[in-house]
Amino acid sequence: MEVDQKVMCEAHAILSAVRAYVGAKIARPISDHENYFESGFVKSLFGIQLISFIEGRFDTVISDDDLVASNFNSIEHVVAFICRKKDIQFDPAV
Amino acid sequence: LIPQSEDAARGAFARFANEAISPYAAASDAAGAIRPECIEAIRSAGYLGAFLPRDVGGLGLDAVSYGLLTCEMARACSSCRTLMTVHDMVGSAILRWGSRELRSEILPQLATGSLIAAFALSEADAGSDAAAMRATIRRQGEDLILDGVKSWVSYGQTANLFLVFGRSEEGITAVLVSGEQPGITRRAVTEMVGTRAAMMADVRFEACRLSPHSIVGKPGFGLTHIAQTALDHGRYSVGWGAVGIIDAAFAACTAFVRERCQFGTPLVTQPQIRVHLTRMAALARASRLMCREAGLLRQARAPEAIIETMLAKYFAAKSAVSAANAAVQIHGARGLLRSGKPERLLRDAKVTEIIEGTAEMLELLIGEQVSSLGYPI
Repeated sequence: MEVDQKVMCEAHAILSAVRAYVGAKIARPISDHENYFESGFVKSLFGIQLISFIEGRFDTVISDDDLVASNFNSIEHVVAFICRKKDIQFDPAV
Repeated sequence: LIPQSEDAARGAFARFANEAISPYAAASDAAGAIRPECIEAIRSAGYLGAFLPRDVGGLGLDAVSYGLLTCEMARACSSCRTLMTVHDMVGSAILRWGSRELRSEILPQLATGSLIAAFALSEADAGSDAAAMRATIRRQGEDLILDGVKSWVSYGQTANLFLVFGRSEEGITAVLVSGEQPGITRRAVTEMVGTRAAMMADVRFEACRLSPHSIVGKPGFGLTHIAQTALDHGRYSVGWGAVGIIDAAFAACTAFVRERCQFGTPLVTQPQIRVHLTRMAALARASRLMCREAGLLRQARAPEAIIETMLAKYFAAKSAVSAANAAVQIHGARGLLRSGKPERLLRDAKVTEIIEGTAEMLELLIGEQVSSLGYPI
């Protein structure tokens, strides 16, 4: 139980950080599951800035194999992607 | 405050540029073609792909050292700097997003210079608005078929590897195309007034058949990730190149104003000349510090590096135009002579305000960042 709580805290911290980053870049309210690429609220640089943010902030390396749109197109998907990379459980419903 | 190792590296790069590049710069510019001796010297020194890691044959220079090399190259010859810029833009995209196979096959050849790479993104009607490109990449069986015409390709006349962008079913996709590929025709662009020796061409790709392994990254990520990675590298290179132009302008002026006498006294004694030199010195120092800061952030792999690089390139390019313009002014009529250095510096400086993101595009992008996130970014 204690382990689960710690894992949940880590996932929640990642979620908070991603929300803050994406929110600042988009400068408008956005839900966790909104596809910001389809909404057209991100500019040309956002893709590599997001990659750089994920790598720098969460000490992970993103390779060509990770270039899948569904890894990066919403806050929820970014958090799930980071958690998979870090081997942390993440349940968006929690 | 600058570490001794940086000073030593800069000194070595400066000696190379003075001996192997400077003597040929004016002739290359006049001919509209880089002298073969320069390419061979850059290749032999390992300066093509100098930022590439040692395990693929590069020099493994860190970002700041690489910037210093680029700066010294531009101080001597902006067309030679352009060679490094476009070659390394392609190298950076492959290093970052290429498959294991592409990295192991291509990067060592870029490091030795057996392949000279060019970046083919712009089209006649798709410049800053690269997403408006018309080139297509369609599947035919197992293969890909590339069709389109790319404009303003530096070293497009001679490159034997192109990184080309086109529309595929999945969106804009990046592919590597050998210069030997059937279906390629090159039209030299000889009317350019800046970086005249950079062997620019418009390149037509007609029914070029490619292996799916030629894709860099994944289909649909060509513009957002592969091109942007290359352009980020390009902006860093061009920013340092602009610093090199300011250094060259300043050096040309300080020599001239000590020698040239008017009203019975050297120009250097004139207060207005000193104002020019003071402004140039300030622009040189500020631009160098901004590029160096961007370099340190790149070495730290900091997310802020992308925007700081953009900011440094923007400022350095504007400063280079200002400094080169002042150099022409200080030299008077001599400043406009085709045989002199100041007019070449002014033509080359103007290029830095346009390539890898025009000043206006950078104002839009930087303005958006600083208005939403504040500064420091």
